[in-house]
Amino acid sequence: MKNATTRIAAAAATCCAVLLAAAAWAQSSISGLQIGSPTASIPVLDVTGQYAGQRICYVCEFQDVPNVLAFFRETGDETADLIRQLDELYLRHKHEDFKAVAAIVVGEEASPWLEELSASAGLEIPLVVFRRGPRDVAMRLYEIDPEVDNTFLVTVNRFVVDNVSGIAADEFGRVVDATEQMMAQNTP
Amino acid sequence: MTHGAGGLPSILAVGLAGALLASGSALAQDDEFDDCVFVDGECIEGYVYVAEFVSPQELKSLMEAESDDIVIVDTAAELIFEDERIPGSVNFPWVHELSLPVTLPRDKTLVIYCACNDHEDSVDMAQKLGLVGYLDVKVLEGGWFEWLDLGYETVGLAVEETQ
Repeated sequence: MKNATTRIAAAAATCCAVLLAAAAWAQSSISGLQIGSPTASIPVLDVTGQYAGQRICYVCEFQDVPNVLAFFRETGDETADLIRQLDELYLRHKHEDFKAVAAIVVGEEASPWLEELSASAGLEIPLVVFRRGPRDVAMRLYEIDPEVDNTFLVTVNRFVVDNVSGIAADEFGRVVDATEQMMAQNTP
Repeated sequence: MTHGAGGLPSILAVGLAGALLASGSALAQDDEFDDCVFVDGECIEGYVYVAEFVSPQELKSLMEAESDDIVIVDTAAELIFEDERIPGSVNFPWVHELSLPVTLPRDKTLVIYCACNDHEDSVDMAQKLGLVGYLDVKVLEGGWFEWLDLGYETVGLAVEETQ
């Protein structure tokens, strides 16, 4: 009787572990292209980069070099914190031909906020917006969930090698780890 | 017995010599094609791709003249193409490697464009098409962005939404 109870408890624990793992997996892949997907060119409006004020395709510009494409649902302190951390990651690896770009989904209304953030924090990565906001075709093309706060696509050779989405500012280490793993594998 | 024992090294020696000759020949063949770029299956030494461009004004004139000699090729992903494109264009999304056979016509001038800053995808696609025998391929100068800046006509779902 005791044995049967133990077995049931063990089975229940296993089920819980599997469910938790599945939930964690679902949580970590709820927004953005899946690993292994190719990255198609997406036109965006450059706000603070070298093409400020113009339409631009940073995916085309980056081509095969390792990079992070970051998408943020809206402006705010959490987004600012994550963008600053992304810029720091870029600065640590830019000598290795690493690139990064941050796109704000809400559209052109975010431009003044982005300009202010870039100037005040001295950011080097370009900040861009989707021209048509959440209705932009890029949302569907990149499978970005409009309900998720952020989506980081770690890519090289125009393929997604990792996807980190829906993170808090103190979880940016996941993007750092994914990027550094990619950089290590990409070293000739 | 003696005959058999002496025969085995001979066979081995002949085999080894044959293998060496074969590998030497393969190496010589590799050397022969070292500087080779295969264009439509033909070895062309020292081949360097140079993109040919057509201006948006020239393309617009050809479109207005309803020229049958050109096919406008948009390298955007299908969703982007459906959203907005140059009228009359066909979709041929940029890919790492072309899957053969390519279905674009070979007896027309292909005018390729992309939404890129420096024609990255269109030049790459033009080069790839050239390597499989498309020798009359031009790149739209300034691409999609220049076309929009000039205020030339576009079609697609996004255009229909704004009308």
